[in-house]
Amino acid sequence: MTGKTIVITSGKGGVGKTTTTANIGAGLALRGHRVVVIDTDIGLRNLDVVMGLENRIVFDLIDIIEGQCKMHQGMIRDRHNYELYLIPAAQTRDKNCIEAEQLTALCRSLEAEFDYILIDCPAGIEQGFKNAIAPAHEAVIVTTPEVSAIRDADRVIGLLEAQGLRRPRLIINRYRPGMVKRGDMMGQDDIVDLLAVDILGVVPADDRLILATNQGVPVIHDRRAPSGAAFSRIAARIDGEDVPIMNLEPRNGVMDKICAIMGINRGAYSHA
Amino acid sequence: MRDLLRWVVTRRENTKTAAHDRLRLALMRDRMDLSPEIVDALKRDILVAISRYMVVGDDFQEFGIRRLDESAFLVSNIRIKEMHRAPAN
Repeated sequence: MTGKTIVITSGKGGVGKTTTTANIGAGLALRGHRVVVIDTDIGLRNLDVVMGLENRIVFDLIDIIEGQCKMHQGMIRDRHNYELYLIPAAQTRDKNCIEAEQLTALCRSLEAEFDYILIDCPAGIEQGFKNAIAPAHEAVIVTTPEVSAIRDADRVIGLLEAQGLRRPRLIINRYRPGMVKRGDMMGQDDIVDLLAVDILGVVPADDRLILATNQGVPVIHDRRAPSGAAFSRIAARIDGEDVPIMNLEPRNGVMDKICAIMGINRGAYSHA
Repeated sequence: MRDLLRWVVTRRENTKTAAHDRLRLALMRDRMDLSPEIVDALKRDILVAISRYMVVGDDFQEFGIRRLDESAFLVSNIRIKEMHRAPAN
């Protein structure tokens, strides 16, 4: 088995990298693949809590790299998917205690056993970022439709290309079709035009995602969540399936119009 | 109620265009910070192109991006030593 290593990155923090990593990981596992997700945000670990595995941590990434435990001892099996594993970040160390070569060597070993290795990259463009992108065969950029996130995404795309990651693909997160329709938010075409990259998917802003994250369950398991449906399609595209990118449309019920006028975000859309 | 509706409809211009235009300029400015390797590659490529038409010095006297208000220019100077009679293909 020769797995593929994919880094999920963004430049700017708080755009949804960790949630995206958890959901793509779960999505690929639901498609029958063996998947491991690695949190490389040393000192600020979060992927464990987003996946609801925070109470099961015994060893972490640094323990594996430094040989304090065997590779399999440091991997935590997911609660929903027996083919999904997490390698959590170390919480009490700093970002300079691993080297890119060590992480690359670990990923090469994992590729022998897993179909997909997803690396959740820390925010920023310093050493932690450089370590996280070093092992990757492919890169996924997460942005939101905001000027700051898009600008940082552009910077990161340049750095990825300089590293030989030629065709990073873009996920636009927290997309609000109603605002785009009113001309108050940049649409996917605007963002793709600015960044000149291929689009991998658009995830609508969705209250159900917050509910799922509160419970430590990837939203992809919530059949009624538009964001979960979007993540399913993203996982399918990563898996090589040709799923068209849909234009998100705001819901058009009477209640939605009333809510729109009153400025209430219902947080759900007709199709994601 | 009517006034409220009008306020809702006309309270502001579309902000998307502003965001898009500001970002386009910001990204252009960001991308102009070329790394030394890229500058060297660009110089090499331009030298190859110029050399098809004339014989020039080994290096540029001046080479860089100059900004003027909202616009930017690639400014370069190089000494011509000799001209070819007709441009080669």
